[in-house]
Amino acid sequence: MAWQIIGDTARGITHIRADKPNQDAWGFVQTTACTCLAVADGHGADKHYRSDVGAQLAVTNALELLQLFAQQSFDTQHIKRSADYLAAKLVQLWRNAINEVDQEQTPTDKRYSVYGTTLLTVLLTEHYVLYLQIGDGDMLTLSATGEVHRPLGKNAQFVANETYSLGAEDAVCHIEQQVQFFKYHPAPALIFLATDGYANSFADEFGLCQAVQDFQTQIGLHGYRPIQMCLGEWLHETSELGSGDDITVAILVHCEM
Amino acid sequence: MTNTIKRPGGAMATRPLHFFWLADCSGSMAGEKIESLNYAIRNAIKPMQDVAAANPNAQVMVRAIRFSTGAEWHIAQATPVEQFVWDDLKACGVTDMGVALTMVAQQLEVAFMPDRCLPPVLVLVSDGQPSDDFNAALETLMRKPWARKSVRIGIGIGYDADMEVLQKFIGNSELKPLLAHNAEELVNYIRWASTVVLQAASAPASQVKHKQSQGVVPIPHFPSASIVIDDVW
Repeated sequence: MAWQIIGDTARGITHIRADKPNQDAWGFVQTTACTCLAVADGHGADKHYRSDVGAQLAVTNALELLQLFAQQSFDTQHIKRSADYLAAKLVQLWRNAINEVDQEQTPTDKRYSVYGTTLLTVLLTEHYVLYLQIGDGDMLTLSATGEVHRPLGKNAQFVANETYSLGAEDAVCHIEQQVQFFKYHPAPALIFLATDGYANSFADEFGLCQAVQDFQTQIGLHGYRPIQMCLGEWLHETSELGSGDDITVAILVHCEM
Repeated sequence: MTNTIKRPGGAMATRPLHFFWLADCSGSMAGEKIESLNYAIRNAIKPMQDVAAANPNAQVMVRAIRFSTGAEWHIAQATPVEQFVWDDLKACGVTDMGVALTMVAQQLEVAFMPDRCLPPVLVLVSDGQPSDDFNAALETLMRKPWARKSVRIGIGIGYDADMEVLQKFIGNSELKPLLAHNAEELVNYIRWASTVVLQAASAPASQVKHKQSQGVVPIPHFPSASIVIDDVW
């Protein structure tokens, strides 16, 4: 099973106006055994003043963790059991990384909050897909027949820019995840991850679902490279015409070998 | 070739920001107080529009409720700030503030305000004490998720204003209600709510969700007054 990766990030137009950095991050790893993809959105509030670093470390550490996870021998029960420990391991890894970069510059009680971020990540292997998310942002899949799904559901609790955070004390409690084994669930045709600035730029949920379907269509019509080339400019325009926020989109597309 | 590829997705839109004026029109407001309030709000329209123009990713929509004996919409339709005009309020009757809060609560349903909206701003202006069940109405209001995330500002007019009630409405001990002693102060406070508060709500940053949230928009404090209190209501 082969997967093509497309992704980019754009500094939000309100961040440009306010001279703030892009606080989103994204990354991927692709080996013979697996494909991992992650996006993160550092909280913009002043008290999270190193959230751009926190987002980058969330991506790096999630990719590292998932890559290791994929190296386990495949057995559905074993994978399920191992997945139960992922959330705690991820939080610990991220905190260790924060401690390392912070060098005790911030007081211990505020340290992780200062680097606060969301995280959405996906691991794909030959046998299964694992979805993991903390905080806002959109994780959607497109089936081979063109239906859009949310593998982790939609968190209806978030209004007004509120989100759960990897930097929170109780972060482990708010990490959602799901493993789907391909012998029970067909693999999706496309997996779409985006920070909340993207969905907030559409008039409604339909506009976002339409985007996921359009990406699939455009990739089919034009190929990966032209879409990858356009993506950065599209995200910039989207921020300008929509939410004004930083926007990151990362897509995995199932392709025939 | 890349220029010919259509950007994916449906219609784009900036994020709605609903701004509500809740104005006391009870009999005690008659005369200079109501005239000053009308003047202050009208005077704040242009600065408010300027702030909105400087934050083009927020679509500011204005509504207003007047309350006296009962309450009714003064501006019923959510009106883009660019088209916002102010018709004079008239004063008579009692102070049914609770009815006004209940009316706002109905508009803060998630069904009317999807999660992509920006936190709403509620500005309550009053010179007296509620004549109805304010506490029950406030409870109804605060049951709405959008109300809990809203920016709530309380402005009292004159010494008879019930500042305790306005503080309860704000619901955040760090943010105090403002007491206008004269027309000049009222103009300043209304302008502050229409500009500084609007600016803060227009571009809020992500905040971590807490069990006991006091809102999601940090509001700058009104600058310390250097006004000489002479023209006291």
